[in-house]
Amino acid sequence: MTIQIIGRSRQLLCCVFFSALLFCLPLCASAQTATSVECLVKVMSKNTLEVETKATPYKLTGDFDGDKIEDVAVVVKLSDTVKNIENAVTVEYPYAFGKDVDTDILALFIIHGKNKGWQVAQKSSVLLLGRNSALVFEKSRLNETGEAMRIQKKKGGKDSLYLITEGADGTIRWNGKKYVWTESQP
Amino acid sequence: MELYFPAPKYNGNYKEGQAQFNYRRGGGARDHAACDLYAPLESDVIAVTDGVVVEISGPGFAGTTEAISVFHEGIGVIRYGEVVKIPEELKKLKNKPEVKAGDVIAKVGWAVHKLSPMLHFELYDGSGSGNLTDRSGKVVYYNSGVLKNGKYQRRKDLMNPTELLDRLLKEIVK
Repeated sequence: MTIQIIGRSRQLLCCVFFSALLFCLPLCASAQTATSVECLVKVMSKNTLEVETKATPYKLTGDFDGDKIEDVAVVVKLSDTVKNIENAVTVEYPYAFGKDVDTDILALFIIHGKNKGWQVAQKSSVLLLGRNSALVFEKSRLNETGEAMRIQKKKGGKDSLYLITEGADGTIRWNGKKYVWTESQP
Repeated sequence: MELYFPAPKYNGNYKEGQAQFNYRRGGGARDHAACDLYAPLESDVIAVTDGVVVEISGPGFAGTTEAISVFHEGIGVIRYGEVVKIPEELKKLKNKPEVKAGDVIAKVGWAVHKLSPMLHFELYDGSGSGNLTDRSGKVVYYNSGVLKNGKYQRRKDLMNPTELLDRLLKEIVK
């Protein structure tokens, strides 16, 4: 009798577990079925990156590569080693410190959309990695209020990202081949 | 009080062009929160008088440079920015590192390579608390010579350092 009850409980638990798994799996199963930017980042980075939702803001949309299709830029934390991340996604090092990377820093992951935009289909993605002076990437200052990153719209051209730094500010823009970080004088 | 000019090899004019306080930057997006003291790369940056180090920013204050902020009794907090080679012992803030008037506390850095190397000199009256950079966009300034709703992206106790620099400059003329 006792053995039967334990057996049924196990069956029930297994049933609940697999039902939950079946319910959750499609959400992050592929880029096409991803229902949120959090999921999309996980899928596209093969679980090496995770969205840092504490950043203000952590997500911005715009046409960064100038193809008139909406892209998205997301602040992410590194969930794996730099080597594994480099194997999983395209990585660029646009900042003054080059490849001097502290794995505890935050970074910017840009997803280029195609057709009807990044939410529907994705053309490519790139992780902008490296030490830099933008406050939005400083873990210790994420709880500060204010707008640490915003879109700079240019008529008929590409959108760029404007980021506040400790001293002044800087922009990230696509030059046709790669993303370039330009910092202003404080 | 023993006083020194912070960049003894200063060779510019902190009251002109974009070196001056309040100069509008980024097409009006920001107001300059400091006076820039042009000086040779890696020349000495010295403490204007005795003080205690209260904040270190960077590397990454601007480009790869750093900033060292010192509370000077009778003056306020000075942020010596766009510098390099801050001595390691001055970075240990838990020890409340002290500096003496005339001590070398850093070297002049080069944040933006199209421009001359400089010391970025910010002044605060010291009544505020927290980080000297404030990105909230809600700061109302009150000190004389500082625009009430200026876009400095700095703490509310920001001051115009021009008069202090005039006073300190007389010290190197002596």
